[in-house]
Amino acid sequence: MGKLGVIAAIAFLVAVLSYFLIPLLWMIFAAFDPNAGPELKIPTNPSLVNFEKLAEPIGAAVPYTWILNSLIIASASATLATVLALLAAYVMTRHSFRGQEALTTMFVSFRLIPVIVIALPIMVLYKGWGLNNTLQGVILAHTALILPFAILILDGYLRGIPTTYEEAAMIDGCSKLGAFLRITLPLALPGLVTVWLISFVFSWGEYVIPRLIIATETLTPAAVGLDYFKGLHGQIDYGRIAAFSILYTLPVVAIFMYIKKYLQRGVAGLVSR
Amino acid sequence: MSTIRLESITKIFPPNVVAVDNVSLKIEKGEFFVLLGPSGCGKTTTLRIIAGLEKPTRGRVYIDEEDVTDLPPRKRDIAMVFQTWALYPHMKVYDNIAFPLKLRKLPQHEIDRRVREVAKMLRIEELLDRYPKQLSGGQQQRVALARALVRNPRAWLMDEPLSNLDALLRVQMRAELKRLQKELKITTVYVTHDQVEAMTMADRIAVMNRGRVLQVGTPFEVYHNPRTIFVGGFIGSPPMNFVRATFDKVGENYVLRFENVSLTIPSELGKHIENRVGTGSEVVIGIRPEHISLASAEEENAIPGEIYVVEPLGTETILNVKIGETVIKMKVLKELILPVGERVWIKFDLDRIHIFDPKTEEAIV
Repeated sequence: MGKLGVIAAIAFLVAVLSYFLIPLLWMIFAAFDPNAGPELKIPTNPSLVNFEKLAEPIGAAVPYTWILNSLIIASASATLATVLALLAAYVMTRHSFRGQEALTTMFVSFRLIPVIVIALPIMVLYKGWGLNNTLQGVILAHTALILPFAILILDGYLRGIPTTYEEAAMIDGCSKLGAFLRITLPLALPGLVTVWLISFVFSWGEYVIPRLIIATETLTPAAVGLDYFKGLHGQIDYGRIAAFSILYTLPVVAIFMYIKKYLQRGVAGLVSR
Repeated sequence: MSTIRLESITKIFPPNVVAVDNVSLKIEKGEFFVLLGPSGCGKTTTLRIIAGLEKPTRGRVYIDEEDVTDLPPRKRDIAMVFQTWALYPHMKVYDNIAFPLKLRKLPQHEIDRRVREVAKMLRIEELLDRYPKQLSGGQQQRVALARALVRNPRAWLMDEPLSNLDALLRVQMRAELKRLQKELKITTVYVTHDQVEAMTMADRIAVMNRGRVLQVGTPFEVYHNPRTIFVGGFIGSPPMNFVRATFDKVGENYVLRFENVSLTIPSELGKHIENRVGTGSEVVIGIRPEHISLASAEEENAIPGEIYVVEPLGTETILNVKIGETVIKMKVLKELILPVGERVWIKFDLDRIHIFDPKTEEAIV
């Protein structure tokens, strides 16, 4: 490659990177800039004042509570979905029954329905059940939305663990359930962690369900809370939105970093035949 | 030491695959019992029914004359070694071996003593701290045996435990396993498709095909008195030769005719066949390669043929001799390597031939 080629390649890379990174860069610059505006600029006197302002209420709620609400909703939905998916996948992989194939197909097709299509009926039903405007309501809906996908992942994962291990454990003295809990469950741990993480990230970022179900600012999760920053006082506080966006991003990145290490160890170390 | 008895066991997998067809067996105390047959013959299913991993559609299973048909595996007090060994990947070797004892809630020092004892016996003491994936095939095999041994089970069930080892190690482990079983006198049911394994290890063999037990007997019995064409063909290497022939009486002599050959057989044998199927009927002659010898042209009952293929094995040579359209395998001394196409005369040891009914495939003599 000639000199011109190298320059062209570098230019191309810079263009691609900018495409992905400039929005992120704006977010980071703006978060630490007390005078942040819509333009991309390096803060002249960087400070944490935008983060401090997040403790001041917007309407009836302090923005920090939205992060907390998101943590509650996402971790509860992810945990619930993982446990339920494990039970379902266990039955689907360790027993055979009529309509097994049809069930799997059904799970896939459920996942293809846009969330907004299901969200409206859910809202109507919740009205009767008193679940509108509650965190439980969002958690239940998210769990239901995640489940098909979670079951499919765990189904594949459990199928990869030979039943011989469970059979050996049953001969060694375990009951059927005991063999599952003592042998298959520890072997499935990396799969469970994966499902939990994916579920968490879905629920963390999901906007439609809480937008329709939650009406009170104190119960709002972060995804919807971002909306409240603009327009309330007629003007947009860019610095505060950027600071909040960073806080909103951090937990997911942190969880991923932690679990990534675990996943590598888990997948490499556990299942080998 | 225990007895195992199967009473009319039938297993049908839905929709209607008959895996095991009315099998009855009695395995004696301390016996090394081999279920032998080709893949899909129902031997593994039979073993899994004894273990309790599979429920028979019909029939009962008894261990020490106690009906265990409806008991789950853990209440049968048997140990099993799987083809893949099924060592728990997330546990160290020590914990793998200790697992059955922990489930029985033995005191810690007793568990430790027993694990170390059995590890010493199988020479895997230095492996206790490793994970199964860090072990070689032979080592994993030993750990699987240790786990099966550690709790003094009533019986050992083994599902092709040697088939995942390389050939050399398999021969070593074969002898070792046999010695161990004789030393500990544990009733053992061993499943294999390898007739050499069955012949070398078994006290008794049950030959199975298509879900049925065709013959039960000592290795000597099933080798020398096969009750069906299948048993004769499955056991022995190279297998028994089978030749379709016509049985007839010429004057006072009984003869067997095939190709252009007419063999005069001993009159006692002839009478016996005559009583069973009558003269003029079709039969199948079965003869093992070692019961055929080279002969000279003028000898009585010498059969002319020509050398078709020569297979030197080192200790002996297998000659393939073509008689008309029939190829017969025979064992000769290793020094005897004849050129292909050479005309030879061969002779059947007529006291050693087996006569089968081609319709029922069962032995007449």
